[in-house]
Amino acid sequence: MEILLCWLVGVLFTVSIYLLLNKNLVRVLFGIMLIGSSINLLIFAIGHLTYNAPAFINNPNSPSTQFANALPQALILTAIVIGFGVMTFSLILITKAWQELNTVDEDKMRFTEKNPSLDQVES
Amino acid sequence: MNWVLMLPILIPIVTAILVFFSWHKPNLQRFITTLGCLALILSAVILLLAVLKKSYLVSQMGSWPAPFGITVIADMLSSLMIVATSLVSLCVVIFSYVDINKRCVRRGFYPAYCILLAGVCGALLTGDLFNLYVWFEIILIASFVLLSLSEEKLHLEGIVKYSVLNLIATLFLLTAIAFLYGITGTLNLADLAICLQHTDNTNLVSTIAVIFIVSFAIKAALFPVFFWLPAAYHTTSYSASALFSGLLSKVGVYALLRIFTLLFIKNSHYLQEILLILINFTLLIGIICAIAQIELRRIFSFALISHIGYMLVGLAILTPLALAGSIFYMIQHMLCITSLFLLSGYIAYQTGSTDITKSRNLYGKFPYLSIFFFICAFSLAGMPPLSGFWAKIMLISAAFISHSYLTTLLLVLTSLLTIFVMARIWQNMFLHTAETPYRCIAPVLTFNQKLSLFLPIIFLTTLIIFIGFMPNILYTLSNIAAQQILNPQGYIHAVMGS
Repeated sequence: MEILLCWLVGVLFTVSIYLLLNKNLVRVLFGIMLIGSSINLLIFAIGHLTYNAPAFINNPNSPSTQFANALPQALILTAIVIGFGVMTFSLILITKAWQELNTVDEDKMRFTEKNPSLDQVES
Repeated sequence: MNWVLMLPILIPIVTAILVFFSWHKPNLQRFITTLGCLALILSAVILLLAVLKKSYLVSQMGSWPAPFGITVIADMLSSLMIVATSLVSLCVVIFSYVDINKRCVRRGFYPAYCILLAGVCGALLTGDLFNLYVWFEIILIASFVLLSLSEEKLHLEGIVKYSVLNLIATLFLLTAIAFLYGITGTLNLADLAICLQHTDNTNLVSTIAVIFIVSFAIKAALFPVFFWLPAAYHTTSYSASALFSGLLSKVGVYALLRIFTLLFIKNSHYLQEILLILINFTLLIGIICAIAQIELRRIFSFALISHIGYMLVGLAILTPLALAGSIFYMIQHMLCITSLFLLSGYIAYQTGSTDITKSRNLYGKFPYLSIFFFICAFSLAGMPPLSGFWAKIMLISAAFISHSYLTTLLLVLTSLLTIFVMARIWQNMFLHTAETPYRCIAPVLTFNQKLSLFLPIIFLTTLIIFIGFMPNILYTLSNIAAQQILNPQGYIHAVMGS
């Protein structure tokens, strides 16, 4: 299982870096989404998870010292929530770019904007 | 719960909530934010005095003992940074009365502003690695909002570069944290320091350290990965860019100083070499790029990148003098670069352009403005009686003593090139009396508006002159900070108890 997760993380990282290197901003967005998910999987894979162990132990003197480690899940949950916020912002940014500049290609975007040094009115 | 320690985080959060409640009243929002920043300055000074007395202030959230709960800790470095942050924030708020019009205020400028401050203070005070990541994300999201709220047409290219590169940086940070948690099973910085002292898995630890360097180098705008900074800083409002220039990259530098002195000091030998190479390139390439620019904020952005190199020389050389010099440099640079970005805004409001080939004869038209610009610009360049000089002399002598002759040469060269860049602005914008064929439209300002634009500049410049003529106060404080971060045992002891 862990070997499988490791391979999955590796493949997802590769795919997302390929997507991040693209000029098309929608693909870049997908790349960020995917790299976020693969990091969550990474925390899951190497985060000292324990199987079949209780999360809470009623009796503090119980002989079983094995109990579930809840921290990786908490970390992943936090990362997912933050990821949602960032994703929403980026999605709106790209939508805005599409509405205003009619392109999601970053190279073309540069030419549709005016030179920043000439931002004041000349006459 | 230690209130002195928590107030610098709580005050901006409470201010943000109050500002949210006065959403449709721009003047009330300005008033509340100003009060919040004043309270932040007060709490920061109290924190600094408390740290001066006790050297470490520690608080465990929810009274969970150290490795389990989240630790909040202040030492001299973080409290100095918080004082500088609060001063910068007050100045930028006063400047933003005029710079940020009511339409932008109604879209949520001040809530984002307060949340950014909360994020910066949280990142400076936290003693937990995952918590650091969360504060970085908070800073990032608040800065996205500030960046996209400007009166002019949305400069999407800058925002896209800024957001994508910074997102990748935080994701790298998360990856490094995941690996570190995987090999140690803890996230508390002091506990991690203990675990990493006893680990024998040095190859994996070095790999993790390099991932940390990549992530914080993007945050701090070091050499190969600085392109987001000059692409974004000149596209937004003057207030937002002044705030970003003062705070954002410095938080990255702070994180590098904190994490590396605490966790990776054991196998820091070739990390130092990597850092030194990166710093050498950053110093030179930043300032060479600045020579090629003609827009004021772009010049300052590239100069800022080059001077990030100065702030990290201490980490690469790792002697007490060098670290103290770096901290001194960072604190005075926060004040100086904010003042310069505000000045570029003031010039834009007075003349209608920040292009150095278009605005001419400022010395004849605005003599007072020229004096303040001269002081700030040449403090950045390191002219003798001003604050930049003392920091530079500390760094250059530290680099020379530790036989890093190439770095010494580059530090001197960058200093000279900064003088060249600033003198070029001075020559073109201030002394040149020939009018250009361009006619720029400047808005007509009332006296009160001019006052609110100029007051923060006067305040920051006074601070710069004060540091320049009384460097021993800041020198003593940064020496204490350098001693503390060079001896992580005190930090570990303060957090973990015995």
